[in-house]
Amino acid sequence: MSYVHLHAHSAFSFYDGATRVEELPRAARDAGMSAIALTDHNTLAGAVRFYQAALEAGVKPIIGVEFTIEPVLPRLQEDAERPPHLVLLGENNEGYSNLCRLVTAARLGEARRESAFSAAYEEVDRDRPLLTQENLRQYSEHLIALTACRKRGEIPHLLERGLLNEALEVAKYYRDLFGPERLFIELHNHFLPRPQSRSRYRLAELAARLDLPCVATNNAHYLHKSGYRLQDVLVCMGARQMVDEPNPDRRPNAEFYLKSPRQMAELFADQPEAIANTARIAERCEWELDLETFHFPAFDLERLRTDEGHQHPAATPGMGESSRTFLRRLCEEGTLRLYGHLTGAVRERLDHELAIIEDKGLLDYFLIVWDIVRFARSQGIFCTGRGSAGDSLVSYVLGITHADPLAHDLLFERFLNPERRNMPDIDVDFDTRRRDEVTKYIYDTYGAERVAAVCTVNTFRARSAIREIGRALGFSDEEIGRVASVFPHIRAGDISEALEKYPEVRDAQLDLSNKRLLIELAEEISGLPRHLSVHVGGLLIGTRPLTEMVPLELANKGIVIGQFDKDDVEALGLVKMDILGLRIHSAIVDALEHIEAHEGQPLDIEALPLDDEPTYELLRSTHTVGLFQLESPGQRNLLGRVQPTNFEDIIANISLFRPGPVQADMITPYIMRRHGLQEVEYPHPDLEPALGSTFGVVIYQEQVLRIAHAIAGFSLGEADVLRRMMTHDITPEDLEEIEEHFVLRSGERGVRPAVAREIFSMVRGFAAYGFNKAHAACFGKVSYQTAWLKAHYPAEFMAGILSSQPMGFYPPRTVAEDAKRFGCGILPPCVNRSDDRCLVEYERNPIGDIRLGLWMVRGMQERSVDRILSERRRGGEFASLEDFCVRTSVPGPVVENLILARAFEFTGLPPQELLWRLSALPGDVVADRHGCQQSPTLSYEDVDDLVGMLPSLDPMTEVARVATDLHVLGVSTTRNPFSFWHDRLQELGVTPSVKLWERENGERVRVAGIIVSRARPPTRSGRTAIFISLEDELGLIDVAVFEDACQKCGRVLYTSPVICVEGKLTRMGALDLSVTAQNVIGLGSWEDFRLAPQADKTLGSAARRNEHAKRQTPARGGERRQIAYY
Amino acid sequence: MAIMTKSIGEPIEILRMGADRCPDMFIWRGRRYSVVETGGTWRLLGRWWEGDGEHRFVRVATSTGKTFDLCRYDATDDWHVYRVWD
Repeated sequence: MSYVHLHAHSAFSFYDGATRVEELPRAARDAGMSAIALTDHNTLAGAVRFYQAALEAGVKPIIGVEFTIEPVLPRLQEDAERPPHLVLLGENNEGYSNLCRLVTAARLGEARRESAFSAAYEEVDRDRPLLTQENLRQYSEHLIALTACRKRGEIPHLLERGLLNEALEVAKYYRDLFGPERLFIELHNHFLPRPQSRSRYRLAELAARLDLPCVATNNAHYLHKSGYRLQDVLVCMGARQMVDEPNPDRRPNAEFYLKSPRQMAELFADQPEAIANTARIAERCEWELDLETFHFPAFDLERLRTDEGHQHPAATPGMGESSRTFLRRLCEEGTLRLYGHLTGAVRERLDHELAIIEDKGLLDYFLIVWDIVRFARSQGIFCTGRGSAGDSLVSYVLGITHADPLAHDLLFERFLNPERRNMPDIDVDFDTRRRDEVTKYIYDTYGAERVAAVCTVNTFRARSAIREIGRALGFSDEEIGRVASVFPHIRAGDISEALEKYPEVRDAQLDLSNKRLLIELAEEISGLPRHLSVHVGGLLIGTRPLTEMVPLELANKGIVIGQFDKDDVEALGLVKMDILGLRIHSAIVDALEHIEAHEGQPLDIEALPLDDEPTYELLRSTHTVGLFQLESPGQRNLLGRVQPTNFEDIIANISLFRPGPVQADMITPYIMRRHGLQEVEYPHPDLEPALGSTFGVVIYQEQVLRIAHAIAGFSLGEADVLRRMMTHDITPEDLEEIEEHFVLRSGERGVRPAVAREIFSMVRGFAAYGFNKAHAACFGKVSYQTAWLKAHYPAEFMAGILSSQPMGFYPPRTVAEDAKRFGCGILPPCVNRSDDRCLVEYERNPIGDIRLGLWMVRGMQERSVDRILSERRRGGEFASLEDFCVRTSVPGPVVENLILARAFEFTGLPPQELLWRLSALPGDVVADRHGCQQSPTLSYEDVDDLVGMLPSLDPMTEVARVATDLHVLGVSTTRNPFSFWHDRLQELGVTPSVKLWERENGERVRVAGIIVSRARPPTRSGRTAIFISLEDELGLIDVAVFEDACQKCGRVLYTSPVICVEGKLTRMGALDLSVTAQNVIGLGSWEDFRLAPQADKTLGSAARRNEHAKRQTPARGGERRQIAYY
Repeated sequence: MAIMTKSIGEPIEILRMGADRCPDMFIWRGRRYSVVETGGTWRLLGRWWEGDGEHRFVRVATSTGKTFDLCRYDATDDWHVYRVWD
């Protein structure tokens, strides 16, 4: 008896399915079934994985969806929250397309017809997809309908309620809609008690009366019987209920698993026809996903010809011009612009690339990317290409990437290999703040129905699993939080291992005696999909309306996503573009705006010569805080060692500073040879052209290609295939085969086998670590631009960096101190002068001082910034604190922070008095935290009277000033906070962090800094070890404190925020530098400098006065906060 | 439908199992019952999160005229009387 499961859920039914979708086809095959259907709730998110797994398992995949659907007889619906279900199977590819459309309709409703930025999407209920009968009628062809389960199928449910005529009516309706051949009455036998166990007979009778066929399914929600617990707890989790609470969607028993054909035949021994029909349906369903073809949208030349807003003649396709000729013309024009000629190697390379691009059918794809970048440029949106696209001259001359591929020996085949079937991957970074304008352009250009974001499938991790399952099992949030927070970000499947092996988990002394079940279930749930979210940059652009191929839904933030993730999308051959946001671009744009505002003319950042000496001087000085990719302490160390003098050095720096090259110690030989301290040798003279620029060290993937080409005569395409094979896990046998091939081919060119083998092993050793030079060159270009800006315009650049926080390696405090070292003052924000971002003022300093932006003030909200700026534009500068409060309605707590940040310095009043005035202001003047003003209480005259009664106020001390700045702004506008310790450090003979790189391994050193992090993972031996990060004036220092030192001075680590550590320097390789503590002394805290007491006193007295004022004025609800440095 | 008179969880001793994995003959409250007819089986989940598993139920008519709903705990393989119908 052959049987096929036609109603089976995977975990993509989210909170109603515990089966890994990939396992479904395998399990079907193992049970001897020739086909299997996937029918998740309102989604096709598992479809591609399911299809691929089915092909692999050798079973026929059938695709379906169990829809939540508008009832045919709404008047009889018992519970509006639980509309009926209907299972639809795709009969063929058109059926699949219809499923996609129906899922989209159920998910997005009418909004799907609107533009992606329409307000209609705000109306969409993401949690309750519902398919309307109208939509179903529209796309009901090529589908087979099954009537779903006893509780939620409209027909069985009406029948169960004894409403036979109504059940018949609904069945007739669907029979008319689908036709008698394509509607099946679904029968279940789940070992339920009477009368439910009788329902399959009543359904069969109904089917007989309408001459409809029946089909037996098991509505499987998990693979094996044992899966019922996870399924049950998932339903509870989804409903945010506890297992103790009843829920009609929970299954009454453990029968909802993927039963064998034999079991099913036994269950329906008295209804054999229903079993036989499963195979008949399976026979009829022929669904094929096209995993071979690429679906590139055509580029619409006509649009550019006729677009009114597009007035650039050179970038307008002529009449009769095709994609091919247009792309060629654009490339040739770009080449002339960038190289000044179109001959020789440039011409050859361009023709070569265009031929491959055309051959692969990618002409339009390049035009699409070109057009997006062109749009961004025309709007002044800064953007740069990244990744292997930089290997292409076409990308470069089209303006997509910005590093010269010929100058840097970048190889097209690494990007687009004629020997491989691969999708080109062009990723472009845009100014973060304006990324949305670019996506909007794409939506507008290709139509909302052809564009969607790629999704990311979020799965259960240790923490989320413990939290959600724990809550369902009835543990308190506190208890669960205690357990969950102990685990690092690991897979839920690794919980047991972590409990045993991870020191921080093992030592947390969790009481797990009552949590065995929780841990078991959490491990079982590991890796199951939890929800879909928006992929960080991926946008799908379809050839046809996406809904024919890709089901759409709404993700959080109101963004339409396809239900396929990036792997699915790639398998389907759909075009994906990564439109990424990069904060450094915002900083660069800011800097350029500041420069233009000051100098009156724009600076062409793209046209900077790459040999600017001050720029390299800056890099060699390692004062690179704020620079793109070159600012981390390890990278700064590397810069110091490499002493870059040209752009190739920058590319090398970026490429070398990776775990691989560091582990393989490629850095030392590179640097030795770079400085002529070691002789450069090549195993074969033919390698010199490939390896000359890196002194014989293989750093780049492109070099691997060059070597295979030069020695073994591989074409560059073949060479890239070789490189890929060596990069991935490979069996020794395969490797040997490749080596023999390499040696053979080399021999044909006269290379001796011994030499060929030596070269092969060298290449193999480095292939795994090699970095894509094109990517490093693309990034390096941006690094160079940031270095150039910092070298020539430090104030403008650092203002940009401060405005783009959080970004990069350092906190704003460190960035600000660095700016000061470059001669830029840091000015407090001012409500009359500050913009939202940081500005540069030149009145007191020709280099420029950085006027902090309003955004940096703690607690500042967008609304408040908007009000301040628009009110200042409208009514001019603010005359006083009172004037400001009246005109802007900025919430009181934010005004307080503005005062503390000295944004009202122009009033000439000290912050203490302003605070007092604020607290005494009438309720109708100062808004509460929500921006609402309250009913009037006191008049202005009253306030002035009160102020007159004030005792004299102490001015803030310098130390208090710094502490306050750090609290409300995150940076110090005056002294370096750590400078208060300066004298003491000198006394102690402390080595600053940056100087540590000059000391030797094993040397005794003293270091000091503020503790920024402290971890105490107990070790395998059970002995204590505490790992600490210290920050001094210039950087970070890692410190390890082991048992003995801990015994001696461990306490000070927890009592003193600033410490001095005496110990041994450990240097392992180029990047790893730490100090093993032998002794630690506390340098005290701010208290030693009378800081904390004074800060407290200052604010404490303000608070007391506030209390005093509150007694006289009705409370306004301003909450006092402690000033805490960290 | 008969009136349910008792709802109890008393253990029974199985003397003989039938081919259909249902008791053929059992002792309840010291009395021996012979099953003359099996009237269907069903399964229901217990409080699994408290260590309870799935329960199998079987309705049997006995030669005394009493109808029982017997219940078996999966975990322990113990049989109980779940209900008695007079």
